[in-house]
Amino acid sequence: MFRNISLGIYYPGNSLLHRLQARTKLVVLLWLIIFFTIANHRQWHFAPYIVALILLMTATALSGISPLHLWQRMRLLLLFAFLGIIPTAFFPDPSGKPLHTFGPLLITYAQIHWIIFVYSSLLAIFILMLMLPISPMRSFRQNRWLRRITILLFLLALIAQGFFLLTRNAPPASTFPIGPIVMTYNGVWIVMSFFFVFLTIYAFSLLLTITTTPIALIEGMTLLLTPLRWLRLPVDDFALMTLIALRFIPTLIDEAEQLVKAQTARGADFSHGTIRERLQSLASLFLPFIQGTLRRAAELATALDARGYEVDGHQTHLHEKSLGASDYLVLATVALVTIGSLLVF
Amino acid sequence: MKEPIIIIKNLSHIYQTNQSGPLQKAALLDINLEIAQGSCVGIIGITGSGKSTLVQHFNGLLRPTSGTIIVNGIDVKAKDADLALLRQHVGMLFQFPESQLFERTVYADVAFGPQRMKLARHEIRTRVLNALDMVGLPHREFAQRPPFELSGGQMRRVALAGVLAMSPAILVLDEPTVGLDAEGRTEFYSYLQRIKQEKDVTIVLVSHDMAEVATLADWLFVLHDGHMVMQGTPRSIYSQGDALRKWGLAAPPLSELLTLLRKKGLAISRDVFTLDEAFSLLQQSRVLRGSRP
Repeated sequence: MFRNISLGIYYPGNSLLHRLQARTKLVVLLWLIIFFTIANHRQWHFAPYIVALILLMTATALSGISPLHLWQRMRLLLLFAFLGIIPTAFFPDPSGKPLHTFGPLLITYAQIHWIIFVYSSLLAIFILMLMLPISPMRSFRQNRWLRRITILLFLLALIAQGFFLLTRNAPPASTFPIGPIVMTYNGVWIVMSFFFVFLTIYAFSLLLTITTTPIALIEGMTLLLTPLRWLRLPVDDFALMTLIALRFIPTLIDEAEQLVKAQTARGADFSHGTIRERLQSLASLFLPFIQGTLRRAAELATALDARGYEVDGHQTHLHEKSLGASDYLVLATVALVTIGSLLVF
Repeated sequence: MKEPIIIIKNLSHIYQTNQSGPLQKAALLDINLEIAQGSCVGIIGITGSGKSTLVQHFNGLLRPTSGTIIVNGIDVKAKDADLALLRQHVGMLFQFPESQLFERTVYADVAFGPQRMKLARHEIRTRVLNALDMVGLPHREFAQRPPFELSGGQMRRVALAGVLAMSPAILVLDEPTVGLDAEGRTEFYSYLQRIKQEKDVTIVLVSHDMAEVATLADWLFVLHDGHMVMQGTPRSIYSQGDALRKWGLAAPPLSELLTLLRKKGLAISRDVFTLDEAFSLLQQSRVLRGSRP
């Protein structure tokens, strides 16, 4: 059960992106965020976005990850982002220049009632059909998407019934306006740019985590944060804490699994039984796990002490990593290209 | 031979990992074995040979990908298998069992298993006290103490008592003496001998150490890389030192010595197995050749 928790989505490889330092990639990502913030201020200039898209395609090509794979990871979140941003196209601020107006649609109450009646009867027939014990219906029923859609339709029917109940006394001829929906240029631009920025930044951060091991990522972040050390912030301690946590997560997951197995073998059941029984079963996991973790922490502290670790000493790295030619090249290219696109128009 | 209590036919278990697409890792391939009731069997193999995976099928923690396994009449692969009942019949002790203790007193921890079986309170009490006595922790001293005050070996015995209190028909021990010193080990095995004699349990010992299963087991199964490569009585297995070496195992030092002596030409029958037998045989042969001791 715990095996499915995958720690990051790092794919080993030897592409250019894999060989870059973590610092470079982080700096590029941060710079792109700043770049988009600046670019957003000027509407209807497409150059920055086209340039960013080209950079993204180049980066994907250089990383050795297939675009299809990247798309598979991104599509669910993108769908939600898209659904979330679409309403702002239709309900923007009223000051913008209108692109198109979907005029108010006037429907009489009689028509509405008639629609509700037809919909409800169709839904009733649909549900009755589902309940028939014919075998094609059975496989149809197993489909979980169908069950979710049925629930949605049912809710819609309930809302419709509520509406019907509220408006049953209204005179049948009077109209119910479905109000004018104005779509402005501004709104369209906001939707497009937001969606685009979201896609690009998300894709770049995915590329970052796919091509960088978590340890390298933490080290890169620490190196970037070194100026903060002069402000007496505990940057080294933060790095060590995060690295130790990352290193021990798989070990602790193994231990937790082992505990679950041991207690299950004694008859603990974590999914059945009364609430009290289930809580009792969970307690049989909790205490030994915490105990094991604390014991490990104490042993690790002793081991670090024995190796001469000092709390306010400066730790040096075993492998000093310096920025190579490819790092500088990438940084220079990105900087030139993005600033150029901002200045062109 | 008595009725087999565990029957395994063509068992395979393949781990599905979905890290980067389905990676099939075969932990067990086509295992066939039978364990007779009341016997003590040892399952040996090097780390990674699949022993832990195999024994986790006995109480339903893992389900076979293919093949059948019937434990005490319960088919583990069946969809409606009563796993709770199965786990009452099969008591399993994992590696380093002292890390699973959690209750406030030794009594409460040992009573955890029987409580899950929904027994009456006096029945639980009888079982717990008997189990504690059987593992050499007299209940008058130890029942009310917190488990974390005990030594490692004692905590391990508390865990064993916790499993024994459920009165299982089959007792599975996964490397029970790992991490114990020599004295702890002999003590543990003395308790295991006692349990074997007093109760009619079938004992399954999983180990990578040949010597420790030599004294207890009636029958051995050798696993390597997910396959069952050898099975037989300890005597027959130990006399095949070369085959064992191929599977990454070593016969106990005495067997190795006897094999070497045989190679040098000394006539030692294959029946000689324990230290006492070897000693008396060598003593005899000296007398026969007329040399002075």
